[in-house]
Amino acid sequence: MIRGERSNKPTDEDLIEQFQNGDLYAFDLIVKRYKNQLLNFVYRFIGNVEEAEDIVQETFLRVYRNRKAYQKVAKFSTWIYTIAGNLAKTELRKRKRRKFFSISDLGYDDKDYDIADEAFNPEKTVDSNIKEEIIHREIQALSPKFREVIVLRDVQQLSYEEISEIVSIPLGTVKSRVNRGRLKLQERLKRLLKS
Amino acid sequence: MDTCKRFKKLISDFIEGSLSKSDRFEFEKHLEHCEGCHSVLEREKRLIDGLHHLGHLNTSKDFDTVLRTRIRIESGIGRRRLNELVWTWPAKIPVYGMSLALLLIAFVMVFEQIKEQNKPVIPQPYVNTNWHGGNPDQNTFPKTYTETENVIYMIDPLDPQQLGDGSYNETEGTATFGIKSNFGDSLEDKRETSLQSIRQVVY
Ligand SMILES: [Zn+2]
Repeated sequence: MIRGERSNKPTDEDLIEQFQNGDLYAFDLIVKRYKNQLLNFVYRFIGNVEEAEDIVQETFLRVYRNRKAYQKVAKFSTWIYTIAGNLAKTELRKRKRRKFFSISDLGYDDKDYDIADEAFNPEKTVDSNIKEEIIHREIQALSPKFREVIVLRDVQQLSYEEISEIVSIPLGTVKSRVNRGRLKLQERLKRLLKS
Repeated sequence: MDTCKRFKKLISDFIEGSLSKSDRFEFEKHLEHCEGCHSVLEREKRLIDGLHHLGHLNTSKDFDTVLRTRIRIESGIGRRRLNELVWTWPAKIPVYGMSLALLLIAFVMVFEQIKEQNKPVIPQPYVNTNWHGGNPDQNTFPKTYTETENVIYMIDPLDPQQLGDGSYNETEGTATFGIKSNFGDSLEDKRETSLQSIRQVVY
């Protein structure tokens, strides 16, 4: 973010306020800041890149449309994650329904998507790609209520407090869900986590 | 045994350092001689590390263009202009040259019911997104967009070679057009078999 490297980089809350006051460039900056992290959140949550990108698009459309609804009492990141999370959950519900009607698999090709860290990183071997694939698959095998908090906590590395607001469940429940989710995952990944 | 259960329940707190001193002390002592809990702890740490370091995806190159286009459609101008366009289409064609100045709108079209095997070669349509801070690099990609089988293209509704007659449904926020011609030969070829309607996405 070349522009953002000035010393007084605007906060998300500054940007949404500017956007509320009609500054469309502020909206561009919000998109720039959040598109990739939201993509990763939704992708790990629902498992399919292209659907994830669609949901992120929809998330920004809702931010655009409902910009007046945002109030400074909440952190902007909480607000936008909540929108994305709800859309992802809707997608999962739709998918469940679709299963009744269709047996076609949800194949996709992801050649349009750069895996930023992997593309030019010689440290990452084929081996580690396979590892990631296995971890990804096991995340998908968790039930959504565990998957969501695990992704938010361990992939996105958000605080328990923020997750509690995004998922709108009590802090204690978030913590115990994360704990149980991790134990389930490590149980399934026993072999991979050996050495 | 009880300690093992308790340890599993509090393992996240143990790793994240949010245990009380006495609990922490108790578990540390327990870990010295309980192999089971020790390996659970090791795996847990490796798991968390692995999750932290999963590869990061970036959005596709045309993400911004598609988003801007969708917003443009959503905005009042887009809506009004679409309405106008559809209903006064024949009148627009003779003044097409003059309306070049209006070539500001790119529309996102969803072509329904395109089967995977019938995916047409993506034509290079006019995309002119005249957007604040717009990056010209982002203005030339038609978007292959999959929501199950749908494909989204950027097309220019002011180009009469791209769109045929259509109708606009205000309440549903949808417009249906035929594709006229010259929308890329291969797409034209596929039209009969794979494209039954185009739905204009207006949210
Ligand atoms: Zn033990």
